[in-house]
Amino acid sequence: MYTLIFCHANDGVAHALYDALFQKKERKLRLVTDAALSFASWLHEADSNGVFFTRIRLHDGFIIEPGMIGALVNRIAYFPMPHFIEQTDRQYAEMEMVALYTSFLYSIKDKVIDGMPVRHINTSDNTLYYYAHAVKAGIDVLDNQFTSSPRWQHPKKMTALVPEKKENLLWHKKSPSLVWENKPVLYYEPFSTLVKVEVVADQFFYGDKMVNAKKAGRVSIKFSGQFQQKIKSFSKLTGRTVYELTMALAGSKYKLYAVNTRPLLLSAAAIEAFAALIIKKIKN
Amino acid sequence: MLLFIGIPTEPPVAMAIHAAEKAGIPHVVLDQRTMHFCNLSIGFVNNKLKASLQLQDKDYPLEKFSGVYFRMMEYNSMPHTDPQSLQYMGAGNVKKSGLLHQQLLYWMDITRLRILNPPWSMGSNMSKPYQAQLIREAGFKIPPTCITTEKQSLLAFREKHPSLIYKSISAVRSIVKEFTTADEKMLNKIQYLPTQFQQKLNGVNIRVHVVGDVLFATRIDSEVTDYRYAGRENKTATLSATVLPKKIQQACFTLSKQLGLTLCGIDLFLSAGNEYYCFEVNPSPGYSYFQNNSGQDIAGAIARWLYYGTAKTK
Repeated sequence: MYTLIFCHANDGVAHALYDALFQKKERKLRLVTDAALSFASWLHEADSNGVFFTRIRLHDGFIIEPGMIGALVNRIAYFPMPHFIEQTDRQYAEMEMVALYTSFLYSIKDKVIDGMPVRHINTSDNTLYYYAHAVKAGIDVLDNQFTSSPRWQHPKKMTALVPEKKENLLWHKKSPSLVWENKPVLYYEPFSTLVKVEVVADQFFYGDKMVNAKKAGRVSIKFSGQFQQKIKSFSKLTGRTVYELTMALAGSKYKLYAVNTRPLLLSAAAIEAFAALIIKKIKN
Repeated sequence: MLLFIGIPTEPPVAMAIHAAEKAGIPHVVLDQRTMHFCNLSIGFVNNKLKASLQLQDKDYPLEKFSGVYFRMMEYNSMPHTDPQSLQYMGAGNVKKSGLLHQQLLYWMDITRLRILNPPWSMGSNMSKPYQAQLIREAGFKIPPTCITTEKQSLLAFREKHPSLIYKSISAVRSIVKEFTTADEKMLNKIQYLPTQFQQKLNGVNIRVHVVGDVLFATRIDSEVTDYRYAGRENKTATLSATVLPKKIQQACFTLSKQLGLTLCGIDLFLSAGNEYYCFEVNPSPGYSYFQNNSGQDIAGAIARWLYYGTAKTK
């Protein structure tokens, strides 16, 4: 049974994972890029019972069929279709390819780690969506407010995080309560430290490096055992297996600031856990 | 109170607004073309969602609405965002309008209000074969399907199913066409992009609109392959209300629930062999065409469900 890693060419996590699995003597291993899939021969066929069978023939002759897949790690989010010159044709082709790929992954869903997001296309960019699930899972989220009107003046403790130009930034410093009618702003509760937490199934990893714009230093961080439970619940609610959380220290609490569902780099420990997860999946 | 978001003169939006007016249901309308005149505030404070809309100089806490019907055009496809258009509203307004559209969609993804339909639920429309697998899981038959880049595979499929149609598989709308001998000349082109072919069935199209706890089944009699475009071929389509067997009605409710699409347009097909097939589920149905031609009060059901939580008449 093969382990397949489908990824974009610049995906550091996919390449590191391939190396980790290779070092663990996994030899039935194949890294397949988005371009290789775009230019492959595809057959995705449903019989009269409505069950889909798929055969993908790569250009080097390698054939992918459901029966030979032990585990498939999906790291692909979109397909560039450069062979369509006209922009409208290319956009259409990209959407059609994603549609096919989504269906293929669903047809072998038990073997797939992190399939395509099958909810509305907006969901993957929607920070509010992740905040809502974090709250459900018991993870605190950083106070935040998108606003387009001075009618809703932000709480004084919040700072504007996304003034797009230098002059806007100056204005925000001079008049922190000013919100322009035509310049919506996103406010966040002030924080001192950002910590990246890498999640791989029910394990999580974080360094002790403090990330601070002005005074970099080191702090010792310890998340409670309860945090692991909350992360498990968050993974279940969002349907993700491998992802990265950015936690911000606001006051005395670490709160969720951002979620990256496809980090391009992970620590060696997280990659090791990722490889172990795949081996366990193949053996099961 | 209900909130309608879209272009108020677009028939499905107009009919839903009219139905609310007729039923005396309080409502406000947000015309997406004038989104830049509105203001919005959305965020989490102390782990609680807070959202407000300022519309025509009034503030509305979004979470206080009983329901939202939205049917929005892509904001950047509107003439108001095109610098070449006479209706162009200016770069600042375009940007603000875009951000407000995006934030409203984000909010609709997470609110607990009754939304027709939450954006997240529309995902299955992005991949028709993926949706077909969900349709099958809900208990419907789907037509034999072949999506391929291989001419030989298609010809083998055609051996089994001599009569075929072809259509797109993403959310891009396409006209369903019958695969004819003339199309054989173009077969080499499928190597560049996987293309979907399906067995052409003989029988009758039935469109089902599920609105929460009620459904409307409409039979379409037409001699063309894609009845939506019958006029283009100088043909007609005759629509009439019909009643489905209880088992099929139940399967429609199950499908609507599984997809999270409280309002949906389900394309059924009653084959000559008396079997029900399901082709696809439309997450934002243009139901006005069916209401106008069959007399079924779908808009009334939408307004009732959003306001009372049931689409049934009292």
